[in-house]
Amino acid sequence: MFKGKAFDYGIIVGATLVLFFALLALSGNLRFTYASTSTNTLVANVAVTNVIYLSVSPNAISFGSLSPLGSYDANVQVTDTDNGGNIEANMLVEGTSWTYLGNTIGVSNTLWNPTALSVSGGNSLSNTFTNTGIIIPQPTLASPYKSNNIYFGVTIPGGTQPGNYVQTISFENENTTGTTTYNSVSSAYTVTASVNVLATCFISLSPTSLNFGSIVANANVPTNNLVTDLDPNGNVAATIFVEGTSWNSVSNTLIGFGVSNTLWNPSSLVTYSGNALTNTLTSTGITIPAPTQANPTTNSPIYFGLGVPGGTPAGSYSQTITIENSC
Amino acid sequence: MDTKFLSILLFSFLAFVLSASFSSAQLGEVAGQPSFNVSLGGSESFTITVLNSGSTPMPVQVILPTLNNIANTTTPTVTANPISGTIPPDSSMNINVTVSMPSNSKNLGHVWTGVLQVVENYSTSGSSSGGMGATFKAGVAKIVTITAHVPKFNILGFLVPIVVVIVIGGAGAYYYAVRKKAAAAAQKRGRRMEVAKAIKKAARAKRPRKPTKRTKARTRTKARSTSAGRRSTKGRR
Repeated sequence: MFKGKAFDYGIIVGATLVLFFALLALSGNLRFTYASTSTNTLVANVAVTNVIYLSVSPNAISFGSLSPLGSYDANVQVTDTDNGGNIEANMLVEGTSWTYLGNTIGVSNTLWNPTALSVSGGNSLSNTFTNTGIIIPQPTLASPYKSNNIYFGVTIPGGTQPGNYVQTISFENENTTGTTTYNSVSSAYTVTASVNVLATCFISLSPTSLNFGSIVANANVPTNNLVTDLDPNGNVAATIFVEGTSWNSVSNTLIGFGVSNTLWNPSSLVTYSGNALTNTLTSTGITIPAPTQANPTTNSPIYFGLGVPGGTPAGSYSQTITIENSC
Repeated sequence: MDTKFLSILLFSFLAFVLSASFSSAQLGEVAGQPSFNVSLGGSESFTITVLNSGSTPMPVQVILPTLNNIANTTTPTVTANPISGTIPPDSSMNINVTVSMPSNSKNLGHVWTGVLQVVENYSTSGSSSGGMGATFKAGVAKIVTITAHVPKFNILGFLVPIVVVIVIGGAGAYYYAVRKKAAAAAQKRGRRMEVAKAIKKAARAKRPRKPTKRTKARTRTKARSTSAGRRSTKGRR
């Protein structure tokens, strides 16, 4: 019944398969198992390491427009957040110098404080990470989002050139436990601070009064009485204007002589000569150079002389001279 | 009073006098000279910021500019608010300066200049302590430049008359077109009626009349004469 070539081939293939599995079983590569009904316990292990995360908000702060010597109180808030960490962290900060077209303001002019200030003050920022002492609490399973605030302000040094200055403030959250330090520093979470330094000029006079002494009528005092016009902590050049009132007797204001008897000059003269003072504001043409951070107070001199007209009654006389800077 | 108290009082007084005569508070200004382009009959404002970088309050007073006179023109007026005040230590004060330009058309294109001053505001009268004494006040100055120009182009003032003209013109054109159409229609209707009347008349004229005895006889005579004529023509051929 089972005859023919197909039957023979079947016998050969079957025998070959039996031989192959027998050899596998002998070499140990094939094992036969069976289902068991006994109970086994699987033990899974995981090690959760300490970790700190960092993000800051906002990423840009502005201190508005300030003049040299002006300051912005440390009350601009930045929030440092550890979202998903598991240990508390100290907040560390550092910053770059302020820059604008090759002009700089030192990093230490930026002030930070753990609380908002309504007066100028705080701690100077440095260009290396400094521990602020501000703690970001330990995130927990119930509360994985923890943060704390830091407040920034700035002071502008006298003589700072006008312009829009920028600075980068970086943060680091750090926890040192024993010899192990856990930290998070992210270059993606920096704060760009900006401040516009206004172009300004100031005026300060020294001295604020001159006494030409006792002069006889029809005599004069050389134009060599110095008044220094200072520009303390401005940042642009200024032109000096001058005007004055008539000389009036201190005891009787109806007695007096003309304003033009006072002379002014940019340089000291050994004689009574120069430009007559007027009662209208006049440009002297004298310029006070722009102060710089290296030289924050610049000045220019202006000299005065006085002639007393013949026939002037004896007595004490006074005059008010107004000196103005314009920029 | 004991001598110690008197000496302290004297020292304090001397210190005050020395500080008053050898230094002054630091008055400052934000740089920039104000330039006003004011249209005739209009006004323009500019804010000047003055600063006090000293540690004591500084009373200041604004002195308005005396503008140059120009023949045949009306000089603009300058006002400031506030005109005086005290700048707190390490602080600033904004002064709003307004220039009003009269509507005198001869002002057009003219330029006025003057110096607006903000000076320390304290009395110096009788401050000379004998002899010839000059007292100095510090101030800051702004050179004010004022130019008169034609009133600014007002797009509304330009557009409104155009819109009014377009609306009135459009309404007029529409009314005219409607009237014309109505007139044409009326004319057409009238013509049609005339034509209809004419047609009616023509039709009435064409309608064959009932032959009377007289017309019948005339027709007969006509037919006869026609056939006779035809015959004679044949014979000649």
